Amino acid sequence: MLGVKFATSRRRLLLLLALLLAAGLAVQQWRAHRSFERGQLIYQQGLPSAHLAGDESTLPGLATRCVNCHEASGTAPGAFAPALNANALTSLHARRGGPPSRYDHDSLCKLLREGVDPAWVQIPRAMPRYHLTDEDCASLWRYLVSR
Amino acid sequence: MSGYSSKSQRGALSPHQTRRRDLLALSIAALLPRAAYAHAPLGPIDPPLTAPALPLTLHDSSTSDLPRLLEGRWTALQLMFTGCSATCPIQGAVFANLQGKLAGTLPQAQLLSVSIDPLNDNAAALAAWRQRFGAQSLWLAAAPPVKHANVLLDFLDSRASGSDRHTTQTLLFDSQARFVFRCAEFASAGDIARLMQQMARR
Repeated sequence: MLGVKFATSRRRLLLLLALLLAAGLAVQQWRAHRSFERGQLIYQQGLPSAHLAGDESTLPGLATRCVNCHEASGTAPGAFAPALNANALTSLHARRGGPPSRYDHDSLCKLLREGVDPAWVQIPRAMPRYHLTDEDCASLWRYLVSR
Repeated sequence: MSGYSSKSQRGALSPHQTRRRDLLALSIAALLPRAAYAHAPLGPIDPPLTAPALPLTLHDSSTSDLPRLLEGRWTALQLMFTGCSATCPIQGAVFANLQGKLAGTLPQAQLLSVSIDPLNDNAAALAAWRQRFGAQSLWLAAAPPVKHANVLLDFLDSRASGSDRHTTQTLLFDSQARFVFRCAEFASAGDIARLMQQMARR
């Protein structure tokens, strides 16, 4: 009798642990999905907290969307600026005349905030500089490397 | 000691010297970063060039020509097209900021966005573009007839390769409709306003 009760309690405990684990994974997935969606939103709609280098006047969101320059539009033969996807960002190659480099989360954030690429080459003035929170930058990185 | 290393020295400069210093500084500062998008040199146009008699249709469907639009005003001119998604939104944002800096400080100032894509940019498209950036009355948008589309690009020496095909320099005209100064690519609204105010005081 005691053995049956013990086995039942153990099954319940295991079931509870499994439920907790599943819930934890679901929350983690939900957070990742929200972060991905936030990154996608930033890519497509920009952030109202960017400016040109050396000019602190805030640019409106419509002028700071990544998609404006990093994807071809209309009848344009190609995009104005380099593609932003996992292959382009994380493969090792020379950019802007500098030594071979690749992006990671931190170097992307540095470029967005300070205008300096992973090989310490300054990017063109046409690319705005962004006031970006760590969370938003992580979201953008998550989205870009999923492409 | 040379240069302008102390406040007392800066204070001793004449207005003419100050203007020259500012023009020089603006030109040099603009040259410092790698000029990846540079199309033409920048700085004063010497001698100034009289604007060609280019017919234009404005955002309100009225018609005029370039000299008539420019005469009697100090004008900041930019090339753009409404279908341009890369550089033009930033140019529009700079002009939106510039109009705020000029309103009240330089009454004879005017901003002029001229489309390089007259095939697609009719008056309605130009009006919508102006509205997107909150343009006020001192900011006009215009397009030449298709057959004259290249006249302004040639006059301004502002052709460029790439998907956007035009310079992002702001080009300044004096009140006699003469092209007098070529600003840096994406010059800030503050710098352009300061320059226009200084030139208009001459």
